[in-house]
Amino acid sequence: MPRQCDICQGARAIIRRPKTGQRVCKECFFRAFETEVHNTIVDNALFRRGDRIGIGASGGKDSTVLAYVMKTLNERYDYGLELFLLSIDEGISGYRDDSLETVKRNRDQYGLPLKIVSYEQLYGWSMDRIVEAVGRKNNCTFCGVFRRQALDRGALMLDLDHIVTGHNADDVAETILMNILRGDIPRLGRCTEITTAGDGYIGRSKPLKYAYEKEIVMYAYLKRLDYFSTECTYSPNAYRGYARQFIKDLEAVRPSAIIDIIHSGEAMKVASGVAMPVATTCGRCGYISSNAICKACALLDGLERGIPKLGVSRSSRDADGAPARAGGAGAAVEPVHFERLRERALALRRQRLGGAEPEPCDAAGAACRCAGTECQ
Amino acid sequence: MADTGAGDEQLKVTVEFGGGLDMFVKKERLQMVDGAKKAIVRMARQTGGKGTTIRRLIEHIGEDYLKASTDLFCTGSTLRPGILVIINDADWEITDDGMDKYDYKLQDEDEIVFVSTLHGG
Amino acid sequence: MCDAPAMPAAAPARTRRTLVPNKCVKCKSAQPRVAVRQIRYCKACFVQASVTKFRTAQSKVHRPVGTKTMVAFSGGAASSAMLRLVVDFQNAWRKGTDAEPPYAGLVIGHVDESALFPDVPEDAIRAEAAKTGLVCEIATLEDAFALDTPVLATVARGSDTGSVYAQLVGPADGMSRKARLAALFAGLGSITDKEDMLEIIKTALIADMARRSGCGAVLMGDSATRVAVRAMALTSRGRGFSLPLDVGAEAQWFGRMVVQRPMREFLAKEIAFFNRWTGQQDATVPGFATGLPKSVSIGRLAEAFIVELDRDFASTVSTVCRTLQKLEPREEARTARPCTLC
Repeated sequence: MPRQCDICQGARAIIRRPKTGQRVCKECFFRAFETEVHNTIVDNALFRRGDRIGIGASGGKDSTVLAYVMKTLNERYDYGLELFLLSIDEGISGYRDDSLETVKRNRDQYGLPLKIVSYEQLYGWSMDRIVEAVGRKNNCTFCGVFRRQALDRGALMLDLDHIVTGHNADDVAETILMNILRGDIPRLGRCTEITTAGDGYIGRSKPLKYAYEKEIVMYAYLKRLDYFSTECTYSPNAYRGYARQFIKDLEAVRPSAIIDIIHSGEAMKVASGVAMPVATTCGRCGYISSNAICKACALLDGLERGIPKLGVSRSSRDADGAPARAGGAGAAVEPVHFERLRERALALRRQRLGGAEPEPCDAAGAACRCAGTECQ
Repeated sequence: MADTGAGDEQLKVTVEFGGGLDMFVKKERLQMVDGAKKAIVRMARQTGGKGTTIRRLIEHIGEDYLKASTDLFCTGSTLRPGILVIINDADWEITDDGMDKYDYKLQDEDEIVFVSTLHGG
Repeated sequence: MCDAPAMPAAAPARTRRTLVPNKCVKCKSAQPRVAVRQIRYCKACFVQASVTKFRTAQSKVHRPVGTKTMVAFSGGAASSAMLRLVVDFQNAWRKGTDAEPPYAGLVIGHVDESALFPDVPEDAIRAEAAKTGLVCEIATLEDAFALDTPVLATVARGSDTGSVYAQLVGPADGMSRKARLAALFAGLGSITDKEDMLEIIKTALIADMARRSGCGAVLMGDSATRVAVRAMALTSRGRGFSLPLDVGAEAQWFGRMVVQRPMREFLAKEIAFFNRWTGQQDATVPGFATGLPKSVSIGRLAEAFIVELDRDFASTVSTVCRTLQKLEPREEARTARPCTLC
């Protein structure tokens, strides 16, 4: 005899929830999953009414589920949020171009506006070209550093109040372990926070922080959500792969282990007296940084000068004195200064509140009046 | 191949299993030598390629010396992480520059020790 | 990967070593026999360096003045090496010098686990302890049922094994302690829970022996490798809040008792070579997961994870140990183990 749902006792149970062990029917699973995300949002007061929220959308399962659930909850509970899809085009052919097609379909399916910002446009370098220059070994460093900034840049272009990302419980647990393994104390303190200050710009949060990857996949599958499930074509971070496998093995031994790791991470306390980096702003682009020049600018500098290893290693000592290869590999695009991006965002805000439209932009380069938000 | 005398075709080494590894080795393969349980291993001498390497010894032990099919000693010719190898009283990680430690070429009468540092036995 | 200069290395003043190809890094003449973190030592220099490292680390920590020190000794590789290093250190002190001896007094604390693991070579372990000539306190696992309840209550709190306390102080129903111990462990479903319970009981027994024999300090023999493994396992079991107590180099138990882990300075590999080259006997102490695949418990998974990572990324264990040194216990952890001595 088929087993009944542990919650409604009516319909046939079709899933065993990894998190609770309950056997539930489809409808009760949807409801439980959505309610848990709702509770995470409400308990942590992630948003305020009227906020403009950007959903970091890659086309993958996590961000697709996040977009769908955010839209559903915004309507069901009347959060009063204005939602946007914000996508980064790293310029990886055979991967991102295809996944962006998925995001475009999501835009139409969910009726949400979509903004795509590309590495090419922001930095003058696509990942394909970066890999050509640096090889496959360190390219993940470039991609990660550039993405972090790119989301902030995109958010300012849209004048958003907040960004949500699809990081799930497995991702957070993995990051906690990675930070212990790498000895990254500042990040260990930060990575469990549901909302981060957004490096001084736009706040970011992870509404799926307590959602198991398994449940996200089930949710996407059972809702028949349209998502893209190919791995990045460039070699994934080998070290992270170990942590990922460890977490999967742990989950098989004890399903609560993922949440237990998150609780462990939340409870770890950095000893007083441990020196933490002091935040300042990048002298070149105005982004928050613990050095005079932010990581993205340092990496770009290396690329332009044809010494891409520059900025990859931890010390910047080798930066000076390293001979620049004649001609470099660059076709420089100076990233727009964050001050200008913020001015532009303010202008957009004034306009929305009934002010004059910001001056239209028709000239790229030095004459640009839109901080690169329109003319590029 | 039968264990009859180490002729020119055969290589003879002594292998000790420490740190609890002896539990995984077939009893009849072990004998007391100088107060420790050891196995006398005779292997066909390989003339081609890289010679009779320690990689081949690990494989050979995995095939012929262990009690049940277990990956607690090795998987194929890869030793389980956490097991140390001591060749003639020296760490096998001391190799000539650039040489893979698995490519160590066994010599007659070599004394090889495998020691587990793992709690899981 | 992690060459950040912020961390104090084992040796206080690290001078750049001149490398002589294929010679020991220290004496620069003998053939190297072991490589530790890519540094090659000959046999004699390796043993000497280990002794120096241990003594330097032990000289830097503070023990309550005038109280004895308990050396927790299981008979396994790490605690055997520790016992030898401690005794050597104490014996190296010469009477008549101005300085105090390293330890005001030494007591060995050993937990006999043969009730659960009949294969433990208990006689050999006890003989090894007796060789030192020190007083050796011995508790059996089943002695847990005779412990003062506050010790148990405090050690067990915050654990995920549920009603440990209730089970250990509940009515005996006419059963012998050995039978109760067997029943207690049989009642635990998973090997992870059994490992957790065993750890709780052993900790409580060591703490109790230390207290009864007037020791103000306890030396635990967790190697660096073991510390990294335990940190991963504890984190995975939701016990991140108490990592500094459970694996820290120096922590306070029950308010006043100092717990030190001097073997944190050594990788499991170093300990294996040290014992081998000093002729130090050690025993293989089995556990619940011995001989079973890695997926049987969180402890085993954590061990497989760490040793595999450390094989492929050489500084993993050291980096984890350094990370742990930068954490401090949360208030919950302190209050979960209040002082039972005062």
